Amino acid sequence: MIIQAEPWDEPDVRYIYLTRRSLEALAEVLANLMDRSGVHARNKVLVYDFSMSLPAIVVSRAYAPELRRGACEILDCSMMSVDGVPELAARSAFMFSMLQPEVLMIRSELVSVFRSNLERGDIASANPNLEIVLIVHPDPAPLPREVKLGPGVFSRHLLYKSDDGLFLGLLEDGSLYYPSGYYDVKCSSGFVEVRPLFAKERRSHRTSLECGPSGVEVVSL
Amino acid sequence: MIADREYYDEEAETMSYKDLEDIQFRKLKAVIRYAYDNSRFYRKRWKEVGVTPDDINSMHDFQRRIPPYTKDDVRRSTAPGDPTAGLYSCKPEEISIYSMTSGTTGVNTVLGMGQAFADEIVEKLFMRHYWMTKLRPGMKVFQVLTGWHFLGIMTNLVLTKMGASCVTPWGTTMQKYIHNMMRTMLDNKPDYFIGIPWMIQALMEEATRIGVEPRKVFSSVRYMQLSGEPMTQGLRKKIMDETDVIDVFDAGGNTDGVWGSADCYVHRGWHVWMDVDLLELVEMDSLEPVDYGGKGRWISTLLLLGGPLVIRYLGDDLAQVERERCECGRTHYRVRIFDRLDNTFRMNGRLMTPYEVSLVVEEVCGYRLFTIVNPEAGGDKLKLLIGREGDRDPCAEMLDEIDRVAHKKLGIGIEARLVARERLPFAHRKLVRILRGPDGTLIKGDR
Ligand SMILES: [Zn+2]
Repeated sequence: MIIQAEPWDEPDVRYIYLTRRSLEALAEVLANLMDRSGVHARNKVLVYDFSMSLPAIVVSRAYAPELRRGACEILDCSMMSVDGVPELAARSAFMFSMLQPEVLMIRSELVSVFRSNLERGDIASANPNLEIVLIVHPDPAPLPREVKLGPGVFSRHLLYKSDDGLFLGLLEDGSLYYPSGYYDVKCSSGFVEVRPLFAKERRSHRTSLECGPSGVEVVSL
Repeated sequence: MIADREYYDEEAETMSYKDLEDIQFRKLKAVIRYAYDNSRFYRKRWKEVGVTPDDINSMHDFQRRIPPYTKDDVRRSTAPGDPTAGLYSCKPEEISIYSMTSGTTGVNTVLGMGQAFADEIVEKLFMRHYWMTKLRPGMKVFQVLTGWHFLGIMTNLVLTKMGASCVTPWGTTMQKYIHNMMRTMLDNKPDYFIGIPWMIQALMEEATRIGVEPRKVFSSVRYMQLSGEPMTQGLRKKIMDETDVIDVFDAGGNTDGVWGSADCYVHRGWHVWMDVDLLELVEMDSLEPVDYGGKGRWISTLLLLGGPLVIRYLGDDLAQVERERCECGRTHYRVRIFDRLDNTFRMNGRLMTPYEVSLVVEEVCGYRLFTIVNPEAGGDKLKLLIGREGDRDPCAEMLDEIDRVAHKKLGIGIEARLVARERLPFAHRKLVRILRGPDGTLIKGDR
């Protein structure tokens, strides 16, 4: 499968070439990270992100051609997706209150428009089932310090993605968690470098995460 | 799978009507029994009219005794936390894939299914559908991924099963992502294109804008499958002339009614699979049955268990369902949706839609965008605004001919006027096909 990567530097266009093995590995990585976040069997997951965004595409085999088992099939969850554009915030808010998912996966820049489309701006009261929020944070966007979703609901998990590194990790309290069997991750010249072990043709990719004592601590799972 | 054969499942696709009717009725009995025993939605409605599964012993019984329901009935039954409203033939915990209807009539509704149901409907409906529209193993397919959309999800599962590969641009099917789509097409040279008709023109215009020969965008594409907007022969011809693809297929259906398919190379309506869906036609107002071949509102019943439970869902479109063997050899229904009910109008006592009008315009001028203005306003002629093509549009000299052909084909006259294309009314990116109310008189002049 060929996906156009998230554009950062127009008109530069990059593509992510994903073999079936890479797709499967990414789905396993996401399942690992969701499991660590507390997602469990029979949870409903609402994805409000672009369908070709790296974490969204491996949520389910229903979202990715060529993928036989997505993260939700691995974890035995159910899922619904809404395209990650602000124009669809009302639709995703409606689905959020109708489906009442335990898990919300949302792009960071959509949080405020999503919240304002829910009654009284209160995410928790629109959906009493909500337990876990995974905020998709694309590299190289600057790291948010805290994303406020509504009264009592803060960003508990930042789901960090790097298209060029084929990398998915969890950013929590200054630490970057990733499943060690899938990546080689190290600090180089003060920045976190990632290399997927499941895609041999990929070289190390330097992320925008600063590592070291004041920056991000790298923790393998 | 042998790549050059016509059918995905020849036996099923060319089966006799006798066999298809037997299958339909056998499956129908099972679906009705399941609903009565398990679904609070159907049981309550059927009890109100005093019907039980034992009363249904023929198709005639089914049509006369089982009441149809509408999207409003579904909306009234759904509640936060329970989007399925008892309209499923599986346990709620078995539902794992949710999709949405596109919500053109207002509030979206949810369609859920389990993994096993998804596999079954892919095999029985969508593999046949995509094989019929010339998708083959090993092809590279362009599509904008849409995880919320039922057809998008089904397409993904088909590509996996078929062994085709996918190329997708960043974004969604909105005009603002057209540059990404065009670059992805040019850079990756897909064999097969899945999209919406408006994307074709928009992609070619974007190519022109950046100085690329528009035909280059589609130079690698052999087949297209388009859905989401009405397709006429004139539009198909225009797209084929402009892109040099081998064929353009039209796909469609209805997510609430859980039916859909595409046309075959003969292009005379979507082949909706009779062993998966039972389609009926009824009169617009009285809801009395209409024979196949006629026009009316469609009613659908899904003949598969394990997912959505759809028994006589009454649609909001004017449709034609034909039931005679196609030149391609398939026996299954051929369905045409003319338009949504609120896009129908009566003139001289005749029920019409923009579709019939487009056939008149196409016969004279070729494919054109147009809007019908206040068709109920009275007068002996239908008023039309036609979008001008190019600086010296020959259609400008043929407006009398349009009137003459309209008299012959529709029994009414047409008073047409050419206007600049950007002066046609658009709402939510879609052309307003019938403009009603005072706005209809506001568009003046042609500049
Ligand atoms: Zn045919």
